[in-house]
Amino acid sequence: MSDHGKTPFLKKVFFAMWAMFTLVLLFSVVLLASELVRLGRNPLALPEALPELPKTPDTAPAETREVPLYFASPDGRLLVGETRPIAYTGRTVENCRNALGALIGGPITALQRVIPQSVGIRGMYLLDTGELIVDFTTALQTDARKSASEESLFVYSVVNTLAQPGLKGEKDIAVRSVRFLVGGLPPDETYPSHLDLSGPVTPDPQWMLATEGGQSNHA
Amino acid sequence: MSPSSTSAAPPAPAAQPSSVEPAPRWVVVLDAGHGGDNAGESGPAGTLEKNVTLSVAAKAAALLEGSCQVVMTRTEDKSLGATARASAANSGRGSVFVSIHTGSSASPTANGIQIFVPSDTITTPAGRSIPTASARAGADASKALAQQLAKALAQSTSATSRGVHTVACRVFQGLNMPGVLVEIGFISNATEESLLADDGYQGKIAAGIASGVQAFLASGN
Ligand SMILES: [Zn+2]
Repeated sequence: MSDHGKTPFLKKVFFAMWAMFTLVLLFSVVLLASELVRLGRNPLALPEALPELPKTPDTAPAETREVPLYFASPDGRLLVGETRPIAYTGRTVENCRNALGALIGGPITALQRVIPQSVGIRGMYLLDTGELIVDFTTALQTDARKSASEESLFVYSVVNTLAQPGLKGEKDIAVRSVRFLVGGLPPDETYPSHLDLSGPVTPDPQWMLATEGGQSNHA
Repeated sequence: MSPSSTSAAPPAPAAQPSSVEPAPRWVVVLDAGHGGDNAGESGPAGTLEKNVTLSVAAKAAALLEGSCQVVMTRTEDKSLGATARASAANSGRGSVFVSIHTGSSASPTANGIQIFVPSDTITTPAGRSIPTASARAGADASKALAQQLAKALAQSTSATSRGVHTVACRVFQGLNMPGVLVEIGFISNATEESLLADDGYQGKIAAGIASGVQAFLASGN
């Protein structure tokens, strides 16, 4: 009789242990996926991404590099470089993340910010083709100014900054173009209202203010 | 520049059934930016971009109607997507397309008139931008239109010219005629906002747009 009474109890104990084990396993998977997203890796490409993770010597920001970040000129007309020290690692995507973070942080000179401070980066992925996918938070839709001129400054501030050779990781590929996402989706007419961002964007010098030794296509 | 069936120049004016009919007319498409739920940007005093653009487009239409056929993408305060605007221009057999907007900037001193034209590339389904002969021809014609508009607007308004820039705008997608997007002044600048809201100044901008379009069309004859 007592053995019969113990069997359901043991079953319950085993079931509870199994359930706990499953929960811990699930939690670990979620943690791993979020860490991969934070590192700029696509969690769905887990088998390819995993071997890259242990490269701690490459990913550690051992040095900084002086890189121009492109902000708007005080008259809001063109882009001007503000040279800033950016944490440099062996991974291009990490360097781009650092540069974009500083760009969102805003200028330290009299230049004008081009990205609202409320805007965050949801993710950043670098494809083998050199196309960098940057996923902005939806604060861009609510907080950014919507005119063709301001949207152009935003787009080329990001593209001209991130596609610089100075942000290329030593043994990594360089950024050739930038594809914009907002809230994980291709941008709709909410933002940008005027510019077409359905495809990747390559750097364009026409938005740069001419500097000594530099050039501008400003008409 | 002579009219042709490509996007390099304004398409030939609509032919009339017989030689005794009035001369063929160019079709000018005027696109008042924003509308309805989409008010566009607003100025420090509350002036709405959608109202300024509609008012200026209507004034420019009145000036052009004697010499051209005018198609307005909207004549009332209604919302319209970019694709619908380009479609209206194409189905109206437009010779030129002028999209009217205001500028807005975080810089309170930003002012002047800026014009945007399409690039000479097309985007492939894979997302690559490649140059094509027809895109180049369309871009060249759009640039010529933009330059005529910049010149005429500088004369009619005395506003600062911020130049012509090549950029992919939503309203250019699928457009089969020379097209420009004109920012007629900065609504974020308090001084320019009051000008943009002024009936007389709107008339000056409209006169500049009409005169620039006419100069471009005349250059094709
Ligand atoms: Zn607008």
